[in-house]
Amino acid sequence: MDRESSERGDMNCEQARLAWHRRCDDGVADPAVDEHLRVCDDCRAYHRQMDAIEGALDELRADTESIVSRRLDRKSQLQRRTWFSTVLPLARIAAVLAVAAALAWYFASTRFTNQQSGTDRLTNSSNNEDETVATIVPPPDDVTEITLQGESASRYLAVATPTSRPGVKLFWLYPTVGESPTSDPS
Amino acid sequence: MLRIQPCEAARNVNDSSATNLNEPGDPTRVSPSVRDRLVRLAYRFVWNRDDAEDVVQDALAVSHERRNELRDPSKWWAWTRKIVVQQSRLSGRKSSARRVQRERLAGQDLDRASEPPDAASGELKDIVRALLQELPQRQREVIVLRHLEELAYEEIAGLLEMSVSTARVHAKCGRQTLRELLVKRHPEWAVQWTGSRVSAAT
Repeated sequence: MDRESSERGDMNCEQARLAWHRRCDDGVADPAVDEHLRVCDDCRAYHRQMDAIEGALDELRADTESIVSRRLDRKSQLQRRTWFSTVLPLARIAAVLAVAAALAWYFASTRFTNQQSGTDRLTNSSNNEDETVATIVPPPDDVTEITLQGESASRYLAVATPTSRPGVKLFWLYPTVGESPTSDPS
Repeated sequence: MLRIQPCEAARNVNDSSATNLNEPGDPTRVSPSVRDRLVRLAYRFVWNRDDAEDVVQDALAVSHERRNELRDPSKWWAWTRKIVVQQSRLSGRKSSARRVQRERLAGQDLDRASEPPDAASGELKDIVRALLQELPQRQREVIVLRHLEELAYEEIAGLLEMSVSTARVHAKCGRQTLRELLVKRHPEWAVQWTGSRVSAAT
């Protein structure tokens, strides 16, 4: 750097470059610097390069701010995951138990209700002529008649039992298996 | 064009609040916000998250061991930051060996995806980050504290146990060294900024 180039304008190059640092540190802008930069390419380049470095440092600061927050995000995700991993299996077990309990209650109450209603229907069958009682009566206690009915392909055993209504019998039909005696070649 | 102002986080953490958050039962347990600020400070020196966590853990343990030296409890925050800077200095010497060991144990560097890319990415900030490691220790510390932590020179002088004018000189020299290294190692950037090739000596 020769003397001529270092003393362009009212300040020399060293002062112009120091002025950048003063401006960076203290925010003090010297109008004479602009005068110097207008005529000095080297100092103009210096100022631009220092501005770029300062900008890069600003970016680095912003990046490192977000790096810690990213770490926090990851930590909170992990915490959430830990919380879920503890609670979710318990919730699943509770849900399965609740469904099982509900089903058990449902089937128990349904069976009980059907038995009750079957008895009721049998009892009340005298009041309603159209009501069908054949499928829900209790097992027969006194069988009066057992016959084998039907053709060979659909043969069944009919068990007749009296009901509370005089003259009315209930028939229990049991399908049979095996060949019919009539189809026996012997 | 003064761009350096005390950051929001610095205003939120003052000495008294930080002191109250230091739990006496477990010396390494402080509030998450205080710890994060310390980790961020350490990270800007060691540039590795695990190392930064280790530095803060060590620093908190040291601050607990030497708690009798702290006359004024309200200075806990500044005092602990100073210890973090000292521990970061020590960490720089052993971090390489620790990282190699960790990578060997893990089979791969799991941190690398979340770390900032190195100078090979070609971005100026990454080049500057790599060049920061080549600065003399004092210059690097002052640059980090001034430009990344946005501390006032009075605070920097207190943390690094030097005068304010010395801190200013280190900052100026550090920036100039950064520029010289940049122009020397990456002349393409000098061309991009100036439109003409400028030597590092100018």
